[in-house]
Amino acid sequence: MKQTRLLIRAIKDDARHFAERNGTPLSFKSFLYLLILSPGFQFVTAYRVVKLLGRIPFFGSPLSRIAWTVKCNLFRSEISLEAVIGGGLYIPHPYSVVVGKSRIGNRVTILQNVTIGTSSRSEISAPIIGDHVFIGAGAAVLGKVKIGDGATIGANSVVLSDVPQNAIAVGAPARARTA
Amino acid sequence: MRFLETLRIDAKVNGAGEGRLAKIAAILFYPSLNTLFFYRLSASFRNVPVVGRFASKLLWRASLSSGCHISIGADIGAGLAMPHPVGIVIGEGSRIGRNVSIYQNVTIGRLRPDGGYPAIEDGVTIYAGAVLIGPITVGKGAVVGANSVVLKDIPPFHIAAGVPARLLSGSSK
Repeated sequence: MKQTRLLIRAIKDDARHFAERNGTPLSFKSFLYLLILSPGFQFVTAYRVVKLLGRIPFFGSPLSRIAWTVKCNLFRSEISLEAVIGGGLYIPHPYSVVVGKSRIGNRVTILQNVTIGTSSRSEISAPIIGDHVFIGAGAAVLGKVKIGDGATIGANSVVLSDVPQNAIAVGAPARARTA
Repeated sequence: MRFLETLRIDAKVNGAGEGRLAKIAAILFYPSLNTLFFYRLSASFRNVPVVGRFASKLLWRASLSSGCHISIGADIGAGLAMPHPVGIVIGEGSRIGRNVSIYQNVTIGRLRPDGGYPAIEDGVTIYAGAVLIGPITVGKGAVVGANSVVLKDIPPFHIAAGVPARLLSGSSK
């Protein structure tokens, strides 16, 4: 029950983050607007709903798996069901976003073409991403790395080592420098 | 009819055949022209009074199946060539000139939530995966290499590549 409540609260946090980025406070009207017209919010909500489906006893597991496949085909982006993602996830352009098994904090921004996943085929390792992290277009966060709160990952960079809090990491392989 | 004239030029650079019927068929079935047509249609809907804004946004949402997120607010000149229109994201305030080529997975946007958008002049070519962000100007006829991240201005007829992008020797002429 606690998990279900957390997921519903996460949807609310997502909506708040999207509404803030659009320059409006969260209201019933702006929630409806996001739900009908914002592809990003639709994608994030679809992910939370797929997770919620998995909470249904007995049928839950196959049901959420099928819904997950439909969602992936619809948006051409995937977030693994094994990923643990905090509230306020902001994905404005859900195209070619691939998020594997990982832990992601609150109010994280992920842009298009981003990959978060493992760095080797033999060893599945999950990146840990803090709160308020910004991941630019085309970046890849790979392997057992830890990204501190408030860090920024530049566009098209490849992150293979830890990034401290509030640092900016750019390049391939990415070098972190504190802002 | 500026709308039709623009579409005619788009059709030409994206490889549609001669003749009206061939052009209409290309707009319906070429992914690049299809994407452009819906973008231009939803952008022109914006000026319709009362329902315009909502209608254009709804039309825009329906056109995203190609995976190109081209904002209605972007100002795109006639003759945009998109050989492989997947994963192209063009932000709200971007200005793109005439006869520009943009390949797959290119992002054109801002650096900060309150920052400016790039201005891309006529005849620029942007190769796959490049990211152009911030209030920069890419000069006439310049070329941006694949997967480069452009954060500074590029003078006309220069070639830029790398993360962050640097100017290469030689001209793109």
